[in-house]
Amino acid sequence: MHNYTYFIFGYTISTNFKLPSLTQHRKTDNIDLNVIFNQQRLPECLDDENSRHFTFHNNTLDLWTNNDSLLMSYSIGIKALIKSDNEIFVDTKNNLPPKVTQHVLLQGILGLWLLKRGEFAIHGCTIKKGDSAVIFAGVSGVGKSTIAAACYDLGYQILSDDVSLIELTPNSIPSVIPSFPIIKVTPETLNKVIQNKASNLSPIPVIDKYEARLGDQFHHNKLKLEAVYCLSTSDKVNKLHFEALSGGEKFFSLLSNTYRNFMIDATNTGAKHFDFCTKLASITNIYSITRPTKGFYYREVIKHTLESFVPLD
Amino acid sequence: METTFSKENLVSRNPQILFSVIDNEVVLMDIESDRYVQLDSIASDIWITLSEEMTFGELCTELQNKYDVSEETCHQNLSEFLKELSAAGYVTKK
Repeated sequence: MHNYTYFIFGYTISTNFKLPSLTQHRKTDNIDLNVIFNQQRLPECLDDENSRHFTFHNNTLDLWTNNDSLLMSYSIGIKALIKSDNEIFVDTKNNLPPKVTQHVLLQGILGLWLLKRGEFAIHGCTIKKGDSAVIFAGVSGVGKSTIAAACYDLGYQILSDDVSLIELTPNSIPSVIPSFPIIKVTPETLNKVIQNKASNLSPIPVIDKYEARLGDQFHHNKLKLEAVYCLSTSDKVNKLHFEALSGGEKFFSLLSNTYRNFMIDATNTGAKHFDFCTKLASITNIYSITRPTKGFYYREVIKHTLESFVPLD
Repeated sequence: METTFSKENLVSRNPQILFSVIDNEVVLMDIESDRYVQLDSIASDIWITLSEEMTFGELCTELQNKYDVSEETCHQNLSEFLKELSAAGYVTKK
């Protein structure tokens, strides 16, 4: 069985599945995680007395948990079993396009693996600003991917396009760990935002998105987190509204923007997550940016956040 | 549900409730119910003051020393607040 090694979210990962959009890592020893594809038949579910069952995303994702394992099953035909900290078994349907398998592995499966380990990411993109990084977070559809795409098109260095893993060092300086050097955009974003780099983007079947390799625009090293911008929309504003958050609002903004926050209960990581969010909230600048529901405002957001650190109102 | 607090009642935080102070505001988390609560500035101050088990009377005295409020008002408002916290399982009363 040939193995391929990749460096993702700061971990050396070995797998027998060749990821179509990532370059292999030179280092092949000290493997942190083995991801083994289609070598053993995975159970249909976990049904012992300690198991719990959850469904997400309009029943397209099933998750079973018990004291030992997590079993996830995507309706498109991928199953993953996480039994230990350093091993994941994956089953895929034969006709699943490799880019789709790659997408599910890099986000869904590794996202859950990180959560199980008590590591937390913000659902948002991370852009390099000077010697630091800023995160743009928010729910699906609010515009964070649009900002990521615009930054990519403008030549900014990017640490992550969607899942921003944060490390709190012992002396409590938060850093963002780079994820992997791929950016994904929707067809609408490709048409309306990408001006210079459309030719770099290729379609990902099934999930209706496009992807590009970041190449030199991927920032490989972790950076100190300077600020988190939480995006939202409102019918009650007719221009961008910036507000510095304080106190409990900072905590709740991180809670609601934690990647896969709906799986925190399933992974029994509530207490760790609370500790993480409250520490991060105490030491990080967090802002809310509210934009009008209709229209694209990404240029203004970029101007007021990346070009000038102190947002204007 | 608790009806009233007397000066002699011992009050303490429920040790199963996680909490954190962010910019002088307290956020509570009940792991059992996955419930989060943000306390306003005065409620946060009460929670912080209740750092160890104390009588209701002692707690009132501490708060009166900080805020310009009569003993009767303090007693009444604090009693109502602690009733809510007690009903939610965040504090215990003996």
